[in-house]
Amino acid sequence: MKLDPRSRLLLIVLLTTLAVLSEDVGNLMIVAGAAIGAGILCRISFLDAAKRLKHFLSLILFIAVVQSLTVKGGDILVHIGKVQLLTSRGIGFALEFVLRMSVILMAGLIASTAEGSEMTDGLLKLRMPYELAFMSAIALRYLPVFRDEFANRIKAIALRGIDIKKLSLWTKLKLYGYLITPAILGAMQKSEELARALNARGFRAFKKRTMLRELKLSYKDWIVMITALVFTAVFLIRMYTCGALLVL
Amino acid sequence: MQASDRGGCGVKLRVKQISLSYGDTAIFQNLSLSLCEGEILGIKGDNGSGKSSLCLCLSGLIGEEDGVRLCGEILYDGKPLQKMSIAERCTAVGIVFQNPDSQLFSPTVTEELAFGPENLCIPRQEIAARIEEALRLCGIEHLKNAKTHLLSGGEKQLVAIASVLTMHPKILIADEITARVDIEKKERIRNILKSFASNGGAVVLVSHNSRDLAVATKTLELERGKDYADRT
Repeated sequence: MKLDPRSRLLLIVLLTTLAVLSEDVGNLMIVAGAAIGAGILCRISFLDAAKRLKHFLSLILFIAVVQSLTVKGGDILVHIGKVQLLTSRGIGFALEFVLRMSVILMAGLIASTAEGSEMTDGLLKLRMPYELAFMSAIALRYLPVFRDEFANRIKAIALRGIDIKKLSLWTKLKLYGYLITPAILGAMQKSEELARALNARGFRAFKKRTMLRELKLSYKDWIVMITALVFTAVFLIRMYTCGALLVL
Repeated sequence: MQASDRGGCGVKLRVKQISLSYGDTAIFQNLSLSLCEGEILGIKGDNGSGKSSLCLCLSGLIGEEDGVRLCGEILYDGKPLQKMSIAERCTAVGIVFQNPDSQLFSPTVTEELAFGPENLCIPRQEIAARIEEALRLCGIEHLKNAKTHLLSGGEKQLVAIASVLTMHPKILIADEITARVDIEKKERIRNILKSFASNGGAVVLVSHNSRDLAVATKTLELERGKDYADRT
Protein backbone atom coordinates (compact mmCIF):
# COMPACT_ATOMS: atom_id res chain seq x y z
CA MET A 1 0.00 0.00 0.00
CA LYS A 2 1.40 3.40 -0.96
CA LEU A 3 0.96 5.57 2.08
CA ASP A 4 1.31 9.33 2.28
CA PRO A 5 4.55 10.36 4.03
CA ARG A 6 2.51 11.93 6.82
CA SER A 7 0.89 8.56 7.60
CA ARG A 8 4.31 6.95 7.62
CA LEU A 9 5.71 9.67 9.87
CA LEU A 10 2.83 9.10 12.31
CA LEU A 11 3.48 5.34 12.31
CA ILE A 12 7.19 5.98 12.98
CA VAL A 13 6.50 8.37 15.87
CA LEU A 14 3.88 6.13 17.49
CA LEU A 15 5.88 2.91 17.16
CA THR A 16 9.10 4.37 18.54
CA THR A 17 7.21 6.06 21.39
CA LEU A 18 5.52 2.80 22.37
CA ALA A 19 8.81 0.91 22.09
CA VAL A 20 10.51 3.34 24.47
CA LEU A 21 7.61 3.49 26.95
CA SER A 22 6.89 -0.26 27.11
CA GLU A 23 8.65 -2.02 29.92
CA ASP A 24 7.80 -5.71 29.90
CA VAL A 25 8.36 -8.37 27.26
CA GLY A 26 4.65 -9.01 26.72
CA ASN A 27 3.87 -5.40 25.82
CA LEU A 28 6.97 -5.12 23.67
CA MET A 29 5.90 -8.23 21.76
CA ILE A 30 2.57 -6.56 20.98
CA VAL A 31 4.38 -3.41 19.81
CA ALA A 32 6.78 -5.51 17.72
CA GLY A 33 3.77 -7.28 16.18
CA ALA A 34 2.24 -3.90 15.34
CA ALA A 35 5.56 -2.79 13.86
CA ILE A 36 5.66 -5.86 11.62
CA GLY A 37 2.08 -5.08 10.55
CA ALA A 38 3.09 -1.51 9.73
CA GLY A 39 6.09 -2.85 7.80
CA ILE A 40 3.84 -5.10 5.72
CA LEU A 41 1.51 -2.15 5.07
CA CYS A 42 4.47 -0.13 3.80
CA ARG A 43 5.59 -3.03 1.57
CA ILE A 44 8.92 -3.60 3.29
CA SER A 45 10.82 -6.60 2.00
CA PHE A 46 11.96 -8.23 5.23
CA LEU A 47 14.49 -10.47 3.49
CA ASP A 48 16.20 -7.53 1.77
CA ALA A 49 16.10 -5.55 5.00
CA ALA A 50 17.74 -8.44 6.91
CA LYS A 51 20.51 -8.58 4.29
CA ARG A 52 21.05 -4.84 4.43
CA LEU A 53 21.12 -4.74 8.21
CA LYS A 54 23.00 -7.97 8.87
CA HIS A 55 25.90 -6.25 10.64
CA PHE A 56 23.54 -4.24 12.79
CA LEU A 57 21.48 -7.33 13.61
CA SER A 58 24.65 -9.19 14.63
CA LEU A 59 25.54 -6.30 16.92
CA ILE A 60 22.07 -6.37 18.51
CA LEU A 61 22.35 -10.13 19.09
CA PHE A 62 25.83 -9.72 20.57
CA ILE A 63 24.62 -7.05 23.00
CA ALA A 64 21.62 -9.23 23.90
CA VAL A 65 23.89 -12.17 24.70
CA VAL A 66 26.16 -9.95 26.82
CA GLN A 67 23.12 -8.57 28.65
CA SER A 68 21.67 -11.99 29.32
CA LEU A 69 25.00 -13.13 30.77
CA THR A 70 25.73 -10.04 32.86
CA VAL A 71 22.32 -9.05 34.27
CA LYS A 72 21.59 -11.08 37.40
CA GLY A 73 18.35 -11.64 39.28
CA GLY A 74 15.25 -13.80 39.27
CA ASP A 75 15.49 -17.56 38.83
CA ILE A 76 18.88 -19.07 38.14
CA LEU A 77 18.64 -21.04 34.91
CA VAL A 78 22.29 -21.99 34.32
CA HIS A 79 25.13 -21.95 36.83
CA ILE A 80 28.62 -23.34 37.31
CA GLY A 81 29.13 -23.90 41.01
CA LYS A 82 28.29 -20.64 42.70
CA VAL A 83 28.69 -18.59 39.49
CA GLN A 84 25.35 -17.64 37.93
CA LEU A 85 25.57 -17.75 34.14
CA LEU A 86 22.01 -17.25 33.03
CA THR A 87 19.12 -15.85 35.04
CA SER A 88 15.49 -15.22 34.15
CA ARG A 89 16.02 -11.47 34.65
CA GLY A 90 18.99 -11.50 32.29
CA ILE A 91 16.99 -13.32 29.62
CA GLY A 92 14.11 -10.84 30.11
CA PHE A 93 16.46 -7.86 29.73
CA ALA A 94 17.97 -9.30 26.55
CA LEU A 95 14.52 -10.01 25.08
CA GLU A 96 13.32 -6.50 25.89
CA PHE A 97 16.40 -5.05 24.23
CA VAL A 98 15.98 -7.16 21.08
CA LEU A 99 12.27 -6.36 20.78
CA ARG A 100 12.77 -2.63 21.40
CA MET A 101 15.56 -2.43 18.84
CA SER A 102 13.47 -4.42 16.33
CA VAL A 103 10.68 -1.86 16.58
CA ILE A 104 13.12 1.02 16.17
CA LEU A 105 14.72 -0.69 13.16
CA MET A 106 11.29 -1.25 11.64
CA ALA A 107 10.54 2.46 12.11
CA GLY A 108 13.78 3.23 10.28
CA LEU A 109 12.81 0.86 7.47
CA ILE A 110 9.42 2.56 7.16
CA ALA A 111 11.24 5.91 6.87
CA SER A 112 13.49 4.46 4.18
CA THR A 113 10.51 3.58 1.96
CA ALA A 114 10.15 7.29 1.14
CA GLU A 115 10.83 8.10 -2.49
CA GLY A 116 13.01 11.12 -3.08
CA SER A 117 12.27 13.96 -0.72
CA GLU A 118 8.80 12.71 0.22
CA MET A 119 9.58 12.84 3.92
CA THR A 120 10.75 16.46 3.66
CA ASP A 121 7.50 17.32 1.90
CA GLY A 122 5.57 15.42 4.55
CA LEU A 123 7.31 17.32 7.35
CA LEU A 124 6.57 20.60 5.56
CA LYS A 125 2.91 19.69 5.32
CA LEU A 126 3.00 19.08 9.06
CA ARG A 127 4.14 22.71 9.34
CA MET A 128 7.74 22.02 10.23
CA PRO A 129 9.92 25.00 9.18
CA TYR A 130 11.48 24.30 5.78
CA GLU A 131 15.03 24.89 7.02
CA LEU A 132 14.65 22.17 9.66
CA ALA A 133 13.00 19.66 7.32
CA PHE A 134 15.61 20.29 4.64
CA MET A 135 18.46 20.12 7.14
CA SER A 136 17.42 16.66 8.31
CA ALA A 137 17.23 15.45 4.70
CA ILE A 138 20.57 16.95 3.79
CA ALA A 139 22.21 15.46 6.90
CA LEU A 140 21.20 12.00 5.70
CA ARG A 141 22.46 12.87 2.22
CA TYR A 142 25.86 13.78 3.68
CA LEU A 143 26.42 10.59 5.67
CA PRO A 144 27.68 8.68 2.58
CA VAL A 145 29.79 11.72 1.60
CA PHE A 146 31.54 11.63 4.94
CA ARG A 147 31.97 7.85 4.70
CA ASP A 148 33.49 8.19 1.19
CA GLU A 149 35.79 10.95 2.39
CA PHE A 150 37.10 8.66 5.12
CA ALA A 151 37.35 5.64 2.78
CA ASN A 152 39.33 7.65 0.22
CA ARG A 153 41.86 8.68 2.84
CA ILE A 154 42.27 5.09 4.01
CA LYS A 155 42.88 4.11 0.36
CA ALA A 156 45.47 6.90 0.06
CA ILE A 157 47.31 5.46 3.05
CA ALA A 158 47.11 1.93 1.62
CA LEU A 159 48.56 3.23 -1.67
CA ARG A 160 51.62 4.42 0.25
CA GLY A 161 52.39 0.83 1.15
CA ILE A 162 50.77 0.56 4.57
CA ASP A 163 48.69 -2.57 5.06
CA ILE A 164 46.10 -1.38 7.56
CA LYS A 165 44.87 -4.92 8.24
CA LYS A 166 48.29 -5.93 9.56
CA LEU A 167 48.58 -3.03 12.01
CA SER A 168 48.07 -3.56 15.72
CA LEU A 169 44.86 -2.24 17.25
CA TRP A 170 46.71 0.61 19.00
CA THR A 171 48.46 1.71 15.76
CA LYS A 172 45.17 1.46 13.88
CA LEU A 173 43.48 3.71 16.43
CA LYS A 174 46.32 6.23 16.15
CA LEU A 175 46.03 6.12 12.38
CA TYR A 176 42.28 6.75 12.49
CA GLY A 177 43.02 9.69 14.77
CA TYR A 178 45.21 11.21 12.06
CA LEU A 179 42.52 10.58 9.44
CA ILE A 180 39.63 12.18 11.26
CA THR A 181 40.90 15.79 11.02
CA PRO A 182 41.43 15.85 7.21
CA ALA A 183 38.20 13.89 6.69
CA ILE A 184 36.25 16.45 8.71
CA LEU A 185 37.98 19.33 6.90
CA GLY A 186 37.15 17.75 3.52
CA ALA A 187 33.52 17.28 4.55
CA MET A 188 33.40 20.90 5.76
CA GLN A 189 34.72 22.12 2.42
CA LYS A 190 32.06 20.08 0.64
CA SER A 191 29.38 21.51 2.90
CA GLU A 192 30.62 25.02 2.13
CA GLU A 193 30.32 24.30 -1.60
CA LEU A 194 26.86 22.90 -0.99
CA ALA A 195 25.86 26.05 0.91
CA ARG A 196 26.96 28.17 -2.06
CA ALA A 197 25.00 25.97 -4.46
CA LEU A 198 21.94 26.31 -2.20
CA ASN A 199 22.28 30.09 -2.11
CA ALA A 200 22.67 30.19 -5.88
CA ARG A 201 19.40 28.29 -6.23
CA GLY A 202 17.31 30.67 -4.16
CA PHE A 203 17.27 28.81 -0.85
CA ARG A 204 15.16 30.85 1.62
CA ALA A 205 14.27 33.38 -1.07
CA PHE A 206 10.80 33.58 0.45
CA LYS A 207 9.29 32.41 3.71
CA LYS A 208 7.10 29.95 1.83
CA ARG A 209 7.81 27.87 -1.25
CA THR A 210 5.79 25.93 -3.75
CA MET A 211 6.07 22.16 -4.06
CA LEU A 212 6.12 20.23 -7.30
CA ARG A 213 4.75 17.13 -5.61
CA GLU A 214 1.20 17.41 -4.38
CA LEU A 215 0.57 15.38 -1.24
CA LYS A 216 -2.96 14.14 -0.70
CA LEU A 217 -4.25 11.97 2.11
CA SER A 218 -6.34 9.12 0.72
CA TYR A 219 -9.02 7.22 2.65
CA LYS A 220 -6.42 4.47 3.23
CA ASP A 221 -4.17 7.00 4.97
CA TRP A 222 -7.02 8.11 7.20
CA ILE A 223 -7.85 4.50 8.11
CA VAL A 224 -4.18 3.77 8.93
CA MET A 225 -3.75 6.96 10.96
CA ILE A 226 -6.98 6.56 12.95
CA THR A 227 -6.26 2.87 13.62
CA ALA A 228 -2.71 3.70 14.73
CA LEU A 229 -3.88 6.47 17.05
CA VAL A 230 -6.65 4.34 18.59
CA PHE A 231 -4.24 1.43 19.04
CA THR A 232 -1.71 3.70 20.75
CA ALA A 233 -4.31 5.28 23.03
CA VAL A 234 -5.75 1.90 24.09
CA PHE A 235 -2.28 0.48 24.58
CA LEU A 236 -1.11 3.39 26.74
CA ILE A 237 -4.29 3.34 28.87
CA ARG A 238 -3.91 -0.42 29.34
CA MET A 239 -0.26 -0.04 30.36
CA TYR A 240 -1.10 2.83 32.70
CA THR A 241 -3.85 0.88 34.46
CA CYS A 242 -1.54 -2.14 34.78
CA GLY A 243 1.31 0.06 36.06
CA ALA A 244 3.53 -1.12 33.19
CA LEU A 245 4.27 2.29 31.79
CA LEU A 246 7.98 3.07 31.92
CA VAL A 247 7.55 6.84 32.25
CA LEU A 248 4.65 8.91 33.73
CA MET B 1 40.47 42.09 -22.87
CA GLN B 2 38.50 44.37 -22.32
CA ALA B 3 34.80 43.99 -22.55
CA SER B 4 33.67 47.37 -23.70
CA ASP B 5 30.09 48.49 -24.10
CA ARG B 6 28.75 48.16 -27.56
CA GLY B 7 26.34 50.81 -28.62
CA GLY B 8 22.84 49.49 -28.94
CA CYS B 9 23.40 46.12 -27.32
CA GLY B 10 21.25 45.32 -24.31
CA VAL B 11 23.84 45.44 -21.55
CA LYS B 12 22.96 42.65 -19.14
CA LEU B 13 25.93 42.90 -16.85
CA ARG B 14 28.15 45.84 -16.05
CA VAL B 15 31.05 45.56 -13.66
CA LYS B 16 32.57 48.84 -12.48
CA GLN B 17 36.06 48.90 -11.00
CA ILE B 18 35.77 45.89 -8.74
CA SER B 19 38.67 44.87 -6.55
CA LEU B 20 38.87 41.68 -4.53
CA SER B 21 41.31 40.78 -1.80
CA TYR B 22 41.66 37.99 0.74
CA GLY B 23 43.12 39.79 3.77
CA ASP B 24 46.12 41.71 2.45
CA THR B 25 46.40 39.63 -0.72
CA ALA B 26 44.87 41.32 -3.74
CA ILE B 27 43.33 38.92 -6.23
CA PHE B 28 42.42 41.55 -8.84
CA GLN B 29 41.98 45.30 -8.78
CA ASN B 30 39.82 47.81 -10.63
CA LEU B 31 38.37 45.28 -13.02
CA SER B 32 35.64 46.59 -15.30
CA LEU B 33 33.66 44.75 -17.91
CA SER B 34 30.29 44.58 -19.52
CA LEU B 35 28.32 41.81 -21.10
CA CYS B 36 25.55 42.20 -23.62
CA GLU B 37 22.71 39.98 -24.71
CA GLY B 38 23.98 37.10 -26.86
CA GLU B 39 27.59 37.45 -25.76
CA ILE B 40 29.82 34.80 -24.26
CA LEU B 41 32.69 36.11 -22.17
CA GLY B 42 35.52 33.60 -21.92
CA ILE B 43 37.73 33.93 -18.86
CA LYS B 44 41.11 32.25 -18.68
CA GLY B 45 44.09 32.46 -16.40
CA ASP B 46 46.49 30.43 -14.31
CA ASN B 47 45.47 28.60 -11.17
CA GLY B 48 44.96 31.11 -8.37
CA SER B 49 44.45 34.01 -10.77
CA GLY B 50 40.98 34.64 -9.33
CA LYS B 51 38.70 33.12 -11.99
CA SER B 52 36.49 31.26 -9.54
CA SER B 53 36.56 34.19 -7.12
CA LEU B 54 35.37 36.49 -9.92
CA CYS B 55 32.55 34.04 -10.67
CA LEU B 56 31.52 34.07 -7.01
CA CYS B 57 31.64 37.88 -6.99
CA LEU B 58 29.48 38.11 -10.11
CA SER B 59 26.94 35.71 -8.63
CA GLY B 60 26.82 37.51 -5.28
CA LEU B 61 27.94 34.42 -3.38
CA ILE B 62 30.99 35.88 -1.73
CA GLY B 63 31.17 38.58 0.89
CA GLU B 64 32.84 39.82 4.02
CA GLU B 65 31.69 36.76 5.95
CA ASP B 66 33.98 34.73 3.70
CA GLY B 67 36.97 36.80 4.76
CA VAL B 68 37.21 38.83 1.56
CA ARG B 69 37.08 42.53 0.77
CA LEU B 70 35.12 43.41 -2.32
CA CYS B 71 34.97 46.97 -3.66
CA GLY B 72 33.29 48.32 -6.76
CA GLU B 73 29.91 47.84 -8.32
CA ILE B 74 28.22 44.97 -10.15
CA LEU B 75 25.03 45.85 -12.02
CA TYR B 76 22.52 43.53 -13.65
CA ASP B 77 20.18 45.37 -16.02
CA GLY B 78 21.30 48.55 -14.23
CA LYS B 79 20.42 47.29 -10.76
CA PRO B 80 23.22 46.84 -8.19
CA LEU B 81 23.74 43.21 -7.20
CA GLN B 82 24.11 44.15 -3.54
CA LYS B 83 20.63 45.67 -3.48
CA MET B 84 18.92 42.68 -5.06
CA SER B 85 16.75 40.27 -3.10
CA ILE B 86 17.64 36.57 -3.26
CA ALA B 87 14.88 35.95 -5.81
CA GLU B 88 15.98 38.88 -8.00
CA ARG B 89 19.59 37.73 -7.87
CA CYS B 90 18.68 34.15 -8.81
CA THR B 91 16.70 35.26 -11.83
CA ALA B 92 19.43 37.68 -12.88
CA VAL B 93 22.34 35.26 -12.66
CA GLY B 94 22.77 31.52 -12.41
CA ILE B 95 26.02 29.75 -11.67
CA VAL B 96 27.23 26.23 -12.36
CA PHE B 97 30.35 25.02 -10.56
CA GLN B 98 33.12 22.66 -11.55
CA ASN B 99 32.19 19.85 -9.17
CA PRO B 100 28.65 18.60 -9.81
CA ASP B 101 28.70 16.47 -6.65
CA SER B 102 28.51 19.51 -4.44
CA GLN B 103 25.69 21.07 -6.46
CA LEU B 104 23.20 18.25 -6.46
CA PHE B 105 21.37 17.71 -3.22
CA SER B 106 18.05 16.16 -4.20
CA PRO B 107 17.53 12.41 -4.48
CA THR B 108 16.05 12.49 -7.99
CA VAL B 109 16.69 14.54 -11.14
CA THR B 110 13.15 15.93 -11.26
CA GLU B 111 13.37 17.09 -7.65
CA GLU B 112 16.78 18.61 -8.32
CA LEU B 113 15.42 20.59 -11.24
CA ALA B 114 12.35 21.65 -9.27
CA PHE B 115 14.35 22.88 -6.26
CA GLY B 116 15.18 26.36 -7.61
CA PRO B 117 11.74 27.24 -9.01
CA GLU B 118 10.11 25.90 -5.83
CA ASN B 119 12.23 28.32 -3.81
CA LEU B 120 11.11 31.13 -6.11
CA CYS B 121 7.45 30.22 -5.50
CA ILE B 122 6.81 29.44 -9.16
CA PRO B 123 3.39 27.75 -9.66
CA ARG B 124 3.43 23.94 -9.91
CA GLN B 125 2.38 23.73 -13.58
CA GLU B 126 5.06 26.18 -14.62
CA ILE B 127 7.72 24.29 -12.67
CA ALA B 128 6.76 21.12 -14.55
CA ALA B 129 6.98 22.97 -17.87
CA ARG B 130 10.37 24.47 -16.97
CA ILE B 131 11.70 21.02 -16.02
CA GLU B 132 10.65 19.59 -19.38
CA GLU B 133 12.22 22.54 -21.19
CA ALA B 134 15.53 22.29 -19.29
CA LEU B 135 15.71 18.53 -19.78
CA ARG B 136 15.17 19.01 -23.52
CA LEU B 137 17.74 21.81 -23.79
CA CYS B 138 20.35 19.65 -22.07
CA GLY B 139 19.34 16.48 -23.93
CA ILE B 140 18.70 14.51 -20.77
CA GLU B 141 14.99 13.74 -21.04
CA HIS B 142 15.79 10.08 -20.38
CA LEU B 143 17.21 10.98 -16.94
CA LYS B 144 14.01 12.63 -15.73
CA ASN B 145 13.23 10.00 -13.09
CA ALA B 146 16.82 8.94 -12.42
CA LYS B 147 18.42 9.03 -8.98
CA THR B 148 21.10 11.72 -8.86
CA HIS B 149 23.65 9.63 -6.94
CA LEU B 150 23.59 6.96 -9.65
CA LEU B 151 24.49 9.33 -12.51
CA SER B 152 27.90 9.54 -14.17
CA GLY B 153 30.03 12.66 -13.68
CA GLY B 154 29.04 14.05 -17.10
CA GLU B 155 25.36 13.38 -16.53
CA LYS B 156 25.56 15.04 -13.12
CA GLN B 157 27.07 18.14 -14.72
CA LEU B 158 24.28 18.27 -17.32
CA VAL B 159 21.72 17.94 -14.52
CA ALA B 160 23.48 20.76 -12.64
CA ILE B 161 23.24 22.97 -15.74
CA ALA B 162 19.57 22.04 -16.24
CA SER B 163 18.82 22.78 -12.59
CA VAL B 164 20.13 26.33 -13.06
CA LEU B 165 18.29 26.77 -16.36
CA THR B 166 14.96 26.02 -14.67
CA MET B 167 15.38 29.28 -12.78
CA HIS B 168 15.46 31.21 -16.08
CA PRO B 169 18.52 33.34 -15.31
CA LYS B 170 19.46 36.10 -17.72
CA ILE B 171 23.17 35.42 -17.31
CA LEU B 172 24.77 32.03 -16.86
CA ILE B 173 28.14 31.72 -15.18
CA ALA B 174 29.96 28.49 -15.97
CA ASP B 175 32.99 27.92 -13.76
CA GLU B 176 35.12 25.26 -15.47
CA ILE B 177 32.08 23.10 -16.01
CA THR B 178 33.66 20.99 -18.75
CA ALA B 179 36.71 20.07 -16.66
CA ARG B 180 35.38 16.70 -15.47
CA VAL B 181 33.37 15.50 -18.45
CA ASP B 182 34.14 13.46 -21.56
CA ILE B 183 34.66 14.92 -25.05
CA GLU B 184 31.12 14.25 -26.25
CA LYS B 185 29.60 15.95 -23.23
CA LYS B 186 32.06 18.86 -23.46
CA GLU B 187 30.71 19.49 -26.95
CA ARG B 188 27.13 19.18 -25.74
CA ILE B 189 27.78 21.65 -22.93
CA ARG B 190 29.34 24.13 -25.37
CA ASN B 191 26.22 23.86 -27.53
CA ILE B 192 23.98 24.45 -24.50
CA LEU B 193 25.93 27.61 -23.66
CA LYS B 194 25.79 28.86 -27.26
CA SER B 195 22.08 28.14 -27.41
CA PHE B 196 21.53 29.96 -24.10
CA ALA B 197 23.36 33.05 -25.39
CA SER B 198 21.63 33.04 -28.76
CA ASN B 199 18.23 32.92 -27.06
CA GLY B 200 18.63 36.27 -25.37
CA GLY B 201 20.95 35.32 -22.53
CA ALA B 202 24.63 35.97 -21.89
CA VAL B 203 27.32 33.63 -20.62
CA VAL B 204 30.46 33.99 -18.51
CA LEU B 205 32.57 30.95 -19.26
CA VAL B 206 35.67 30.10 -17.24
CA SER B 207 37.87 27.46 -18.77
CA HIS B 208 41.42 26.31 -19.46
CA ASN B 209 40.25 24.50 -22.56
CA SER B 210 40.92 26.33 -25.84
CA ARG B 211 37.96 24.61 -27.52
CA ASP B 212 35.66 25.93 -24.82
CA LEU B 213 37.07 29.41 -25.17
CA ALA B 214 36.59 29.24 -28.94
CA VAL B 215 32.83 29.69 -28.40
CA ALA B 216 33.45 32.97 -26.55
CA THR B 217 32.67 36.23 -28.33
CA LYS B 218 35.28 37.98 -26.18
CA THR B 219 37.86 36.89 -23.67
CA LEU B 220 39.45 38.13 -20.50
CA GLU B 221 42.74 36.85 -19.15
CA LEU B 222 43.14 37.17 -15.41
CA GLU B 223 46.46 37.52 -13.62
CA ARG B 224 46.80 37.25 -9.88
CA GLY B 225 46.94 40.64 -8.15
CA LYS B 226 46.80 42.62 -11.39
CA ASP B 227 45.48 46.18 -11.45
CA TYR B 228 43.21 46.67 -14.48
CA ALA B 229 42.66 50.39 -13.88
CA ASP B 230 44.33 51.46 -17.13
CA ARG B 231 42.44 48.95 -19.28
CA THR B 232 39.31 49.91 -21.14
